[in-house]
Amino acid sequence: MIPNEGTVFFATIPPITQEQINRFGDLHGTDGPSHTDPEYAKNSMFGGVIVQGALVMAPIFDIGRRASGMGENTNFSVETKFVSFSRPEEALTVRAEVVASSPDRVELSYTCATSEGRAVQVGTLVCEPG
Amino acid sequence: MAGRVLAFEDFTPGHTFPTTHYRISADDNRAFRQTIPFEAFRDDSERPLPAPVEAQAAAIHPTLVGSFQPQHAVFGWPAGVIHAREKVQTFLPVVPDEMLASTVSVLDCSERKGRKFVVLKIQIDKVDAGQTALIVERTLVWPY
Repeated sequence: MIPNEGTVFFATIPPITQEQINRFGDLHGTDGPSHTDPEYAKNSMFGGVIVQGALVMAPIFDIGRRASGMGENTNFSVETKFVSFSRPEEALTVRAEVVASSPDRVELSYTCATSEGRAVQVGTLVCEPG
Repeated sequence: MAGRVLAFEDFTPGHTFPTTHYRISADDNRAFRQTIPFEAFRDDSERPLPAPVEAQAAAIHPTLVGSFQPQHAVFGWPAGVIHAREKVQTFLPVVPDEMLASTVSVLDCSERKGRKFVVLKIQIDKVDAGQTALIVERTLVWPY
């Protein structure tokens, strides 16, 4: 079922373990020491390990597929700005609001933030039937 | 295997790196999906949104299709590169083990407020179908 304009969806991303970060980095190619080497990261500009932006962004596709109700062959157009970073121990919340809706196009505007309300990603997601 | 580690000055807008080929297995896709746990809800319901049916879960996740691996295949980069922005367009689903062709090109290089931005376009084509599966426009901040 296609959601109406103004419908809001939430998703929770639980804290991420170092093992998950390392595995994601191996598969995705984002295995730099800021993510995978706690000692290096501690002495870097980040002051500790940061989660890959792509790992935080990845659920957006799944949320869009579920929220749009378009089924298996949904095509996506996603634009995300990484405005800050998140730590492995931080749970994140994604808030996605439907800003335009028709049977052949659902557009969501979303923010991903920490529990303190600090935004780490903001973007738009357009879902269309494939 | 990654090529030479590139500095900001090595990038030229308009340059296209050689096309490379790769496949993504069902096992890697499954492992990848396990690294991104989440639960999604509609705001007026306490029930989670339904999980994808098996066919959806079997398609390669778009983030894995448009990963950084095609970049690794054509050049290396120093520690400290920051991922600033990403645009992704998907056109067709990718299934496990199908042959993909990746072409990385440089869309733009610029310096703003003392930061060095490199914008790459990564196009992933389905070799057998002769069609584009996905295009990523990736903005990175280079440390030097």
